[in-house]
Amino acid sequence: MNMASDLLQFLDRGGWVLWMIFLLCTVLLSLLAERVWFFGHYTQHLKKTINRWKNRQDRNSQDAQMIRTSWLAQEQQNLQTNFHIIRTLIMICPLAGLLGTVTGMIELFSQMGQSGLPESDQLLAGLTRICLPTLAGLATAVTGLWLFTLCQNAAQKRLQTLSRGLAQ
Amino acid sequence: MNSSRRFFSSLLFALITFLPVNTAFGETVLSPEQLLKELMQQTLADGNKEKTNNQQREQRFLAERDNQAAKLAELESQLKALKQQNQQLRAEQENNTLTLQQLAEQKNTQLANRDRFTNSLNQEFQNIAEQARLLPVTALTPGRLALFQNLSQSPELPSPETLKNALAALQSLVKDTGLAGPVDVSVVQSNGSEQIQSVTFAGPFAANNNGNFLIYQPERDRLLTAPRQPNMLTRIYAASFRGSRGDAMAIDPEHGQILQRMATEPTMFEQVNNGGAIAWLILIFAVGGIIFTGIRIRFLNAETLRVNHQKYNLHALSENNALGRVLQAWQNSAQSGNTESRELRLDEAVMAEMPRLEAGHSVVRLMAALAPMLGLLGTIVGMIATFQAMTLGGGREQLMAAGIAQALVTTAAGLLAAIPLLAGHALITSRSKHLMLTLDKQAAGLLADFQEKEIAEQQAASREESVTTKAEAIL
Repeated sequence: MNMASDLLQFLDRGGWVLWMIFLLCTVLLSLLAERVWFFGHYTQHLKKTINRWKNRQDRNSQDAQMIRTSWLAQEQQNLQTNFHIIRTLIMICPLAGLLGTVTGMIELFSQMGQSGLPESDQLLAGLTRICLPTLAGLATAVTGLWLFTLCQNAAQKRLQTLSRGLAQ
Repeated sequence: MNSSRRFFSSLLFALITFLPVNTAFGETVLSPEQLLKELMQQTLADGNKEKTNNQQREQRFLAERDNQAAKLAELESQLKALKQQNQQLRAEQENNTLTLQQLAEQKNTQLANRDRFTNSLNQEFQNIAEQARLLPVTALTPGRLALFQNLSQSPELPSPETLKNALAALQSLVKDTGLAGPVDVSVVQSNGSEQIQSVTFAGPFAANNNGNFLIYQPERDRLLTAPRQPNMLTRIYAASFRGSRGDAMAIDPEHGQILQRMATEPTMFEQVNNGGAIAWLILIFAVGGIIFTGIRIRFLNAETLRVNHQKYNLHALSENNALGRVLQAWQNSAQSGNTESRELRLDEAVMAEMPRLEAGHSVVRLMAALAPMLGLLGTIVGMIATFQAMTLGGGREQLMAAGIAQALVTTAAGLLAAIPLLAGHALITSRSKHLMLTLDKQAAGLLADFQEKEIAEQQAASREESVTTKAEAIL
């Protein structure tokens, strides 16, 4: 409860852009979590596919090669579902952070335009507020990128396993 | 004495003159001695008579003189008394003049005191009215502000009752500023009518009705919903504020001035308009890109549906979808040519589908990349304009700050446009890539898989058939 209210206060201090980053972060993390869950349950499917291939009599003809390519492509699609969207979300996060900083700067400058240079501690408070979205955006992007790289590696590893398993 | 001698000599003269006559004409002729004697006697008697007469007259005159003297004395004493009285009165007059002067001075000082008092009273009530104009709690009891304003302007000394009323109003106002919680009060609606609503006050700083922050309108002496409201979370907090412990509510430390300043802040449209042509270009990019992305997503979704349908119905290849067309090309190439030429045909067919699936994606990508750059350009242009204006005309840092704020709007717009464009680009590219992978890598395999199954089924069927024919033969 306390943490939730802290989070709310943090989001409220940064303005609406921080809310957007929060939303982006939520979507990104849930997509990544879905991927992790998928990889965790993928081994069974992998074994099934390899067995299916092993049970075939014809594994060398042109048609068989076509089928192998097709299966690999299918699994690549399965493994890399949403990868493109995740990558874009990671790209968007710092942009959104920058956007928050720019809107904060606009606010601060227009305030300064109305009432002159604020007191130094007020100015510092304003600058802190301005920096929050960039911080949040970068933090989200870094976390997302790290998890995404792990996912990419996992997908690559499973694909290689499959590719080796579907040998002649 | 002189007069009496003259009198006697004249008398003697007369006697000598008339003596012969008398003697001549007298009836009784007397002897001259006798006559003289008689004349003497008569003269003496006359003289006596005259003497007494004179004496009497003299006495009378004397008495009269005494009388006059007494009168004079009396009058003199009267005069003296009057003079004394005069003196007294004069002294008294002087005294009175002095008193009068003193009183006039006293009056003047008192008047000055009164004026000073009235002035300070006016000043004091003006201060009070100025503060009360801003406080939302002033609306709790209508008429207070009018009272203060009247007192701040009246040139006359107000009556004690008015002062007492004002003091009571001031006391109630001070008491109201301590209010934290809901109170029923009349609020001006958007259509101008008034309605009693439950308004939550937070001391002198804020008034809130169900999340709507209210400001005090001194002209109507009523509360009014602020034209621009703070952000949603602040309003949600404010709506749940009941003044109990732990409740939080945003307050306006400047007594409603922040809310009033918010109303004068430029709206989104004004800000974009200030950004100039570049801001509008970015906006067009954003809107156009989003609409185009939407159209592409619809098309790609439909195509994916058709392709998936084709995937599970490989016996009937349809012309209406990419997979069907690619597979038809693959099948048609089966009769003619070797494996390599077949693969070439397949690749050609796949490449022929690419423009349809990826049409316009590069434009969206370009827009997404251009938008932030354009924004930056707009900012630079705006900053150049600001600095140029400052070097030409001079200006304070406030102007510079306002100019920079305006210039930054385009950067924000560029970033704001880039985010949905990038997201849209990701959506359409992931869909088209998925389809392309299906076509490129899976198409041939899918058909081979399908034909293999068909062949297996046929073999199974023929085996079954042969078994049955054999059985028939045996029978």
